[in-house]
Amino acid sequence: MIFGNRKTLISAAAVATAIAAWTIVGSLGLTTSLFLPPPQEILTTTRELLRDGYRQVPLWGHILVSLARALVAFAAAALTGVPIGLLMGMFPAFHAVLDPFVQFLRPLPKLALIPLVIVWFGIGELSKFLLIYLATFLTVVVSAAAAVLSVKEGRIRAALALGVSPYKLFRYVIFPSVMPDLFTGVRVAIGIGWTTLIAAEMIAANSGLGWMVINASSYLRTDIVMLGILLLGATGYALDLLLVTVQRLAVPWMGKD
Amino acid sequence: MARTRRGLLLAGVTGALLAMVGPIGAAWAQDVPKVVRFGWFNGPRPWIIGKAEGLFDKRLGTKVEWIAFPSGATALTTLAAKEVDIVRLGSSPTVAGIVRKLPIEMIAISGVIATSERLIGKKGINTVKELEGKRLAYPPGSTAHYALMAALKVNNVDVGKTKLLGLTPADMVAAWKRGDIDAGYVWGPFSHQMESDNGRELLATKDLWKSSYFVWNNYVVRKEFSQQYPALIVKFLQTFEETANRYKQNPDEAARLIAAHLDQKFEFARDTLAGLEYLPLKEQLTPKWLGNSQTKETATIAKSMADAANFLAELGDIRKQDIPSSFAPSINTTYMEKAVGGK
Amino acid sequence: MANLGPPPKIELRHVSKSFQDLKRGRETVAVEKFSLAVQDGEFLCLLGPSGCGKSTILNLVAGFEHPTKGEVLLDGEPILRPGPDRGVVFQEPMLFPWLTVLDNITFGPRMNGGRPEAYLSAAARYITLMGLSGFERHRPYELSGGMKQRVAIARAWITDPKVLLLDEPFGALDAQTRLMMQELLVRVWEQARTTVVFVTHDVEEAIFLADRVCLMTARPGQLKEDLRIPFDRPRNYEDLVPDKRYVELKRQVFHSIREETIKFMSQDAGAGPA
Ligand SMILES: Nc1ncnc2c1ncn2[C@@H]1O[C@H](COP(=O)(O)OP(=O)(O)OP(=O)(O)O)[C@@H](O)[C@H]1O
Ligand SMILES: [Mg+2]
Repeated sequence: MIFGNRKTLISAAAVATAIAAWTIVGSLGLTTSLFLPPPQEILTTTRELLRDGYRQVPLWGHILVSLARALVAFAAAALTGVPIGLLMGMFPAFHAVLDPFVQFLRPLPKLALIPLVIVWFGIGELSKFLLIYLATFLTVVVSAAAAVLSVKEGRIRAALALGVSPYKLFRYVIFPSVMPDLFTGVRVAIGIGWTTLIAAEMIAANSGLGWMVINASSYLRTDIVMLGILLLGATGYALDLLLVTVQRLAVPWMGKD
Repeated sequence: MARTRRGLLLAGVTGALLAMVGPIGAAWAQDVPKVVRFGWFNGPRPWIIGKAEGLFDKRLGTKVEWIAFPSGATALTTLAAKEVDIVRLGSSPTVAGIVRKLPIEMIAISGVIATSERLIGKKGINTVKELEGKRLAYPPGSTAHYALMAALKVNNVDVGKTKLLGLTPADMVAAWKRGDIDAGYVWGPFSHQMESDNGRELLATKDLWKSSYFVWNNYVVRKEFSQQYPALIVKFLQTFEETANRYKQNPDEAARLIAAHLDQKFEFARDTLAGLEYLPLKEQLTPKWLGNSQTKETATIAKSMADAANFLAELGDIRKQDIPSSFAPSINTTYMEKAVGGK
Repeated sequence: MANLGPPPKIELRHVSKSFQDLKRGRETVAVEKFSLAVQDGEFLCLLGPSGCGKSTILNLVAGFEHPTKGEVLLDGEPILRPGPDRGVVFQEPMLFPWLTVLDNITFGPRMNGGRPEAYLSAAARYITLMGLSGFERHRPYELSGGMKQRVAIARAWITDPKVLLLDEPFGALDAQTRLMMQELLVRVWEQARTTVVFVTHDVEEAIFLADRVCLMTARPGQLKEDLRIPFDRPRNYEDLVPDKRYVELKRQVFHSIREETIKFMSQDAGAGPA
C-alpha cells in the first residue's frame, strides 16, 4: 500500500514535470503554436470550446458521442467475443475453422477496411460501430481462446477426479479459471478498440473526439488536435481504470495462484 | 612553433566557417539545392507534361522529387514539417495554412477551377435549392467544400436543414452507389462516376464566379526555401508556363501524354484538363487576379482569400481573431514579375 | 499372489504405457509389464527413482491416462475414466482460487448433487481433523503451503473414495511441515481406512506411512521389491528411529534406490535419440 502511494506520487511528479517543461518551452517562444501549442493555449482553446462547442457540437457532446460509439462496440465485442473465443479454446475443430480468419483480420490496419465497410454497410453509425467492434472482437476472441488453453491441466484433472460432468467442468472450473485472463484480454482489446475510434470517425462523422482531431488537423489547428488527443487519452485511461477496478472486485484472486 | 600551430588552426577554422557560410551567400546568384521536393495530387494538369518529360529537372538544373499527397491537410502538415518545398495546393488549404501562420507564400495560380469540380445531385433533384433537407457530401477542407457552401449560400439554401457529410472522394462514390447521399461536390473522376450512375450536374464551380466566389489551385513555397533559391522559383514558374502553353496549343496531344503518364483514361484526362483555366502569368499580374507587388493588396485574389478565411471562421474551423488583416503579405508576385520580365 | 476371495481393490496386470513424442519422433516407454495388486484398506507407498513411472501408474489408476497394454482394474472392473471413487492429491494443491476453503472441500459433493446437510457436516469433520478450523471462509491464497495441501486432501477424501491416490503430496513442503502432515494423514487414515497409494521419493516417509512399500526399477518401471512394514500403529518417529528393524529396512531401501538411480542416470546419459 505504501508502495502503491509512492507509485502514484512518482507518476504525478512525472506528469507535473512534463507539463512544466511543456509550459517553459511554450513561454520561452521556442516553438510556435503550429508545432506545439503551450498549455496556456490549450486551456484557452478548451474554454472556447466549452463555451461555443466545436463545429456546432458542444465539447462534452463530442466526448459522449465517441464514448457511446465505443462502449456499444465494446459491449457487443465482449458479449460475442468471449463465448466464441472460449468455444475455440474448448474445441480444436472449431478453432481450426475460425482461426485463419481471425489471424488474417486481426493484424490488418482497420483504416484499410474503411472503403469496404462503406461499400457494404454505408456511412452511418453501423459502419463506425463495425470498425471498432471488429478490432475489439478479434482481440477478445484470441485472448479468450488462449485463456482456455492456459488453464492448468492439473486443475482440470483435480476436478475430473471429483466427478464433474463436462458441462460442470466448463461452468464451475474452466470459466472461473479463465476469468482473470478474460479481464486482461478485454482490457487489452478495449485499448485497441479505442484506438480504432479515429478510423471509425473518419467515416462521414460530424462529431466525436476522433472526428474532431481529424477535422482540426485539416486546418492545422494543432491546439484542438492536442486537446482532442488529451481527451482521447484521458478517456481511454479512465475506461481502463474502471475496468481494473471491476477486475479487482470480480477476480480478487488474480495473480495470486 | 606553438604560435604557428595556433595560426594554422585559426586559419583552418575560418576556412571551415567560410565554407559553411559560402553557399548561403552564393545562393542569391545561382546555387541550386541538391533536390527540390514538389508536392502534387494525382489529377491531370498541364505541368504533368514537364514531369513526364523531365523538363523541370532540366530547367531547374537539379533533381525534382515528386511527392503525391492524398489531401490538402496532409500537404499542410508536410509543409509544417519542412518535408516538402513547393506544393500545388487548393485555395482553401492555402488560406487555412496562412491563417495558421504556416511560413509559406503563394506565388502563382496554377489553374482556376471552372468545371473540374461540380455539384452532382441524384436524378430528380433539378436545382440547388431543392437540396434543402437532403444529405450532401463534400471532401472536408477542400476547394469543393468551400464551393459547396458558397453554392448553398448563393442559392439561399438553409444549411441547417441539410445533412452535411465529410467524405473522401472515393468514399463519396461508394456512399453514392449505396444511396446513402443525395448530392456531392467533388472533382473528377469521382464527379463523372456519380454522374454516370443516376446523377445530374446541378452546378459547376464556374457558375459561382458571377457571385464573385473564386476557387483555384495555386503554388505555395516554403518561405525559407524561396528566400534561399529565388532564381529557382522563377525558373519553376517559367517552366510551368511553358507546359501550360503546350497544352493550350494542342490539348488532345497533351491529354494523351498526361493520361499515359498517370495511367488514367484519355477522356478523363482531357475533360479534367479542360475543367480548369490556366491563366498566363502576365494576366495573373493584373488586379483581376493576383495583381503585382503594388496592386496585390486590392486585387481579387487577396480579397477572395479573405472571404474564404471568413467562411472557415464561420464554420468554426479557424479562429476569427487569427485571420490576418490582409492576405497580400502572403502573396509574393515578385517571382512572376521576374519570370515574365526575363522572357 | 493367488489369493482367493474378493478381487484386490486395485490391480494392474502387465501394464505398459508409452508416450509418443511427436516432436522428436520417438517413443518413451514409461512403464513396462508392470503388475501390482493393492488390497482393500492397504496403505501402499510407491518408491522409485525419478522418471521411473510412478506418476504414470497413479494417472492410470486415476483414469487420466489409458494403458498401452495390459489392464488396470478397480474392484475387478476396468478403469475407463476419472471419477469420484478415486480421490487424487497432487504435489501442488490445485485448489480453486475463487472458492473459499469450505467451498473447495465441498466441491465434489456439490458437483455430484450431494445433500448439503450431509456434506456440510462431513466438511466440518474434515476441517477439524485437518486443523483448518477458523479458516473456512479463507481463500486459498490466504493459506500456507501446508494448509493448502490439507484442504486438497480433505477435498479428495470427503467424497468417500474407494481409493486415495497421492502423488508426492508433501514434496513441496519444508521438513517440519512434512512431518506434521505425515502424522496428520496417518491419524485421519486410521479412522477412514481408505485404500491408499502414496507416491514419494522419501524413504523415511514411505516407511513411516505404509503397510507396504513397493520399490520400482529405473525406467521403464517395474516392481523391484515389495516390502511389508512390520511396525504397529499408531507409529511415531521417536519410537521408530532407534528401532533396529527400522534402521535395517531403511538401509535396504536406500541401497536399492541408489542402485536404480545410478542405473537411471547412466541410462539417461546414454539415451540419445533412440
Ligand atoms: N505426458 C507425457 N508425455 C511424454 N512423456 C511422458 C509423459 N508423462 C510422463 N512421461 C515420461 O514417462 C516417464 C515416467 O514419467 P513419470 O512422471 O511417471 O515419472 P515419475 O516416476 O513420476 O518421476 P518423478 O519422481 O520425477 O515425478 C518419464 O520419462 C517421462 O518423461
Ligand atoms: Mg511424478
